[in-house]
Amino acid sequence: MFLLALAVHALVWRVRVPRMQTRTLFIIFAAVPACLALLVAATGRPPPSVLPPVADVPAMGLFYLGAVGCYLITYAGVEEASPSLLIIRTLEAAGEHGCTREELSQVVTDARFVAPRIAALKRDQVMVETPEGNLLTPRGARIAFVAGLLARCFRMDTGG
Amino acid sequence: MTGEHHTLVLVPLLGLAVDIGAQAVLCRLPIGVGHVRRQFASFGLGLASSAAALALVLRRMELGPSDLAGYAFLSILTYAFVGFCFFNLINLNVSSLRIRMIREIHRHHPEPVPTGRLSALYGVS
Repeated sequence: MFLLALAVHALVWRVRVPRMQTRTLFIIFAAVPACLALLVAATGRPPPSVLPPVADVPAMGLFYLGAVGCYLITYAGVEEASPSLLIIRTLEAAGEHGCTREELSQVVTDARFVAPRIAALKRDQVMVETPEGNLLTPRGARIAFVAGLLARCFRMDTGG
Repeated sequence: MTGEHHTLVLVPLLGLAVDIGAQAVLCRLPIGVGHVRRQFASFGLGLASSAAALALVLRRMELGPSDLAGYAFLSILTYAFVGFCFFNLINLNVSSLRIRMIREIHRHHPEPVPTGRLSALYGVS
């Protein structure tokens, strides 16, 4: 089922990369099992042997959710260029000579990392830009609240 | 559907609960250990709990060796998946530039935050 959803994802991306990629991925990974379940229900026959037996559906469902979660997290990491990855690649390309701080600062630029993320936040209606600066939308405020709550619960504010 | 099959789905969730609880406790202990080590330790405790619960559940199910291995693999892999998701979720505050920007704007609410200040989060000009 996960592989089927992955195939649909690859197919859609081949045709056209959607503007809201993460949202589209959510829809695909939710729609594929829903369609399969509907198909099995509509035929009125026992599910084919490639699908798990009914008794295993809860465990397989959790497995599927976990796999989708991991995939979405990994995808979000490569959706926009990662500064850490680019620094590693630059250092690798430099070989034994290495890179100076100045050389690295020419690689990690606003245009490459900050601007695309700000654009993504605006596109996803998480923040809006006013002449005075940027403000959070109610959705953005909810995300900030949850992130802050997690940071307080697990004392994550002291790192990074 | 047997009761044991229902219990099987709880195995990774139990591991996750232990992982979350251990993490919440470990981060409050004055042991001078970094975030990542604490997270790995919590994940390990969750894994050990999952494995113990799995052994108890599987002992009650009358299964052949291949089914036994399959269910064990499924449960442990599911725990690894949910543990990975949790690890990334709580690390977003450190690893995600977008989340850091959102929190920066939230900190200054209701004052708007100029884009230049957001750029300064990554220390680039």
